[in-house]
Amino acid sequence: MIELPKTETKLMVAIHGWSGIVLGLLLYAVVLTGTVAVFAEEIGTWSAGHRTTQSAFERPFADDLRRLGAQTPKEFHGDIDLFEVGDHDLGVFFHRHELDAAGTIISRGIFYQLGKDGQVIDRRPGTSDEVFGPRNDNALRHFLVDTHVQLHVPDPWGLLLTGILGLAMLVAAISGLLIHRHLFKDIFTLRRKANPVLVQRDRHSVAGTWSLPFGFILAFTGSFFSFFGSIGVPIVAMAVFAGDVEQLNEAVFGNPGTPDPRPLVIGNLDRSAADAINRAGAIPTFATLENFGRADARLTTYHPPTEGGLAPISLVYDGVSGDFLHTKPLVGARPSAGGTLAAVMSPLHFGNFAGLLSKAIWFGLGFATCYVTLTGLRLWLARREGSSRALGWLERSVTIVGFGLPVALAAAAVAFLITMPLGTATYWTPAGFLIASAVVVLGGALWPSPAAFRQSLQVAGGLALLTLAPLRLLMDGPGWQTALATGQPVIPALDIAFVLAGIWMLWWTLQPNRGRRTSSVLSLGAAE
Amino acid sequence: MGALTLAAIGFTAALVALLCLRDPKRQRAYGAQSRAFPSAMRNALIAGALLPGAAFALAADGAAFFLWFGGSAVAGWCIALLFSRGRQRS
Repeated sequence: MIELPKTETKLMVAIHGWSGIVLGLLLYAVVLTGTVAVFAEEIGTWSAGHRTTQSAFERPFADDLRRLGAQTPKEFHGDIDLFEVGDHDLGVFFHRHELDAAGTIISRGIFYQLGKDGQVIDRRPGTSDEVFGPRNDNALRHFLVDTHVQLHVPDPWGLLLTGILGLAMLVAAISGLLIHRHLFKDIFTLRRKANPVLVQRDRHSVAGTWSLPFGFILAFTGSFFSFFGSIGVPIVAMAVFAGDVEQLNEAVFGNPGTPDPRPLVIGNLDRSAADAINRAGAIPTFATLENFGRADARLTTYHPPTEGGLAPISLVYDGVSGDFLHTKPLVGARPSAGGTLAAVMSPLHFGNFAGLLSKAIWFGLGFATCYVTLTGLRLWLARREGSSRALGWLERSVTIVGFGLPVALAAAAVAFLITMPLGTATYWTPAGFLIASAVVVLGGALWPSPAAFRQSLQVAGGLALLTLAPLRLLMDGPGWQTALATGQPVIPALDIAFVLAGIWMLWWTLQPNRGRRTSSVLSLGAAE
Repeated sequence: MGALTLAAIGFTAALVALLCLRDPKRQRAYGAQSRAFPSAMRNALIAGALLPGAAFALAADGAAFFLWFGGSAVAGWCIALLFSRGRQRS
């Protein structure tokens, strides 16, 4: 319990309320899509109907690399990214770094997609934006992640915007902690039959108190990721490397050493990959091969945290002999406190350090944060209902975003499932979201009462969720038997989760007396 | 790690549920008849609920600590929500 003087408490209440009301709706959008994106990998597998479980890194690929190297101009041999694309195919991106017209460093080269038999099934020259951009089979996953990361606003403005939203969340969490005088005394008090302001206040403060520590963590780590590339790296590059971002990347994240340009073919990298999987206890999420065809070639594999660990690990191998060299810290050449802190940012933000268990918990924490944001907005409105200012438009906006966004996201999933077999999902997934959003906005503006519109949106959301599993099967997605037989239990698991969520939403909205109670409790009543 | 962490979250959740049932402010607000725990008992239950986290921290098991911390936070919120669905004084 923190006691502040009355004037400071008033100031904190104003900061808490206004920071929430100005940026709350955007923050809600970022947090909601982030909550869903916790399961981005699983949603990608579910939506595309992937049936392969063997990783591309578990299959031999060194011979394929040698072959591709002979076909690729030498100017792109400096750096090769290796990663999984599609249904565990291998993506290989031979590239070099260069500056674009705006002076931003980009990667340009040739991308190959190798099938399970090692044959090239796609070859494209292009930049990293094109290579790592949305594809037909991952359009839904990409759309969710991109909405969370930068709200589809172009670089660097989207990252700056989400970074500012993260800071607003930090401000709201700190000011909320300072203004709540009975933080622990009220931690179980949820009055349902009090006046609407008290009901909203209890909902907001109880969820806020339980999720407060993670509010700090998620907001801080989210801001870190947003500002890291957009502000942090350019500033450090200006201060220490005369503005040379590539030199900074090499010094801080690369494998600095004495150059040895003698031409030598790459060694047995299949053995290196097997050794890396054995050492890390997990498949690499990504790998890079520097200086292809030279004596100083280095293979670096990036893995999720080991069992019981929190920080991801990176292993470095000699590209010619294939021998293990050392474990590489994320930052710098030697382990450091700063490097460890930077390394744990990612698992603490994404909750991906202990498989589905940590993801499920992070999903719950994200859901609680959404709830805190939405109830905070509604509490702010409820407290001002008696005032002379007309805030009907804001109440409608809260309803449109708060309950319409889940409907629009479900519509994007529906659009993806229908259009992926046609090969047009990269266009129709965001288009489906935008069309549904336009319908929701129009409905919100024209519907006579926000409370009734909210109910309609909840019904629409429940029906959309119920539609997803049958639609996936209808569009030739793998059945449960096939999915289980091929080791993809996540497909039936998500089918069941969507059906249960849809049933719960419909039950919650349509249960007897719900409408009456909703309107009496949620409609804006007398101020405290 | 998973089973031990889940057990730790379950243990903490059970104690949080007890604290919730006999929480004095909640009982006043709901007009409940049962007596609230005395403060010594409440403090002992709070200490017990935090025990698994302290054990994970002392063992320097960062992953288990954050799983327990996050899982207990979600469980605590769910318990507060579930127990608010009983009879309440108008």
